[in-house]
Amino acid sequence: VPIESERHLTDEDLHALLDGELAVATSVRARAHLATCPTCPARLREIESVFVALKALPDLPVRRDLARGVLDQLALAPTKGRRWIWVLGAQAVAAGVLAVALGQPAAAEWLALASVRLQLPSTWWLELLAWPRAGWEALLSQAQAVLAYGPSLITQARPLPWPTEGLAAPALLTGLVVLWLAGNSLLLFPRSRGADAPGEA
Amino acid sequence: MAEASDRDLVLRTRGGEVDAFGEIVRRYQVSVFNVCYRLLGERRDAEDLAQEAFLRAYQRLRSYDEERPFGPWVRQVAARLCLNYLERPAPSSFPLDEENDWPAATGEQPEAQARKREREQTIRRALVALPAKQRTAVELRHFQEFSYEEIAVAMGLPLSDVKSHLFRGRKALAEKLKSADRI
Repeated sequence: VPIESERHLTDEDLHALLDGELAVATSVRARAHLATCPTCPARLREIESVFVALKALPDLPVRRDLARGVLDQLALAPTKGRRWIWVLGAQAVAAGVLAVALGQPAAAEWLALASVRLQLPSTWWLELLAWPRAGWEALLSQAQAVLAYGPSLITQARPLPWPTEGLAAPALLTGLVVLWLAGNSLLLFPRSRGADAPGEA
Repeated sequence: MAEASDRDLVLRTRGGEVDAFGEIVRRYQVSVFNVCYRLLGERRDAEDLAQEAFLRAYQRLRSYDEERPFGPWVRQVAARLCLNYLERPAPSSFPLDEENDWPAATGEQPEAQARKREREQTIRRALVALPAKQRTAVELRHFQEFSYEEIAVAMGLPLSDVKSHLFRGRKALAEKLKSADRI
């Protein structure tokens, strides 16, 4: 808005003049007005006093070394993320190895032999391990049945050729383990990613 | 040995030398802390947020243009962080610390020094008493020398709002300083 030298300057004009935000021509007219106006210079001085006061504020020293704290945080964050990833990976690998090992028919013999050699007082845990092994065996044989029977299922509506009740326990356990691992991964992935990679603040 | 430039330190940090970022922090910690202290008025919070500002800056270092000066950029990060902090739903009161480690003023009489400190405390108190947006606009304009347009971008506000916050903030400061002078 052009400033006429006859009219008083608005507060906005005065602030903009002190901030150097007025166009050159407008600024010249504003100064021409200030040179003759009896009231506007006092208003300008009042605003100017704030500029002077703020300029006089010194910087204060910082009492603790922020660099130390920043470097400690940076060292901590990625390690934390990576450690959890390793723990998760190790869990997944251990679970997989255990599941495959227990599914092997030879595992029962090997464990029984180890139990004798180690002179373990009880073999109740061998009976316990027979349960998931039976589940695995059932799962494998039924998977083979699906592979053999699958194509005809697509073309003809026929009842499933295997009993489903034997599968319930292993399927439930496997599902829970998978969900637990996946849930952990989903929860921890953003944290590890945030710690490693720069992102939006 | 010549001191490494900010640009070199930033590039080294991007290359994985985290210690180079430590050097950047040491260079700018006083100015970043003072941005936070002027906005928050409380030393411990100001130091915590200054540290947080450097961590944010580190995380966003890839988006920083190393051809531009680092100081204004990191101070802007700090100012925005403080504004977010001040605008949190839980309102906080920020009693201004009684500072006892002022920079040494040489050649001044103790009485003059005391008057000067009292005046500075008055200004800081007046500043901290402003609403958060007015305070931030004043900080960015007077201490960071941002233009209206740059303040608008930094604060994510329309230009008219920035002017309004700045002008109202100054007016309130002028009144407070005037009434303090009368006492």
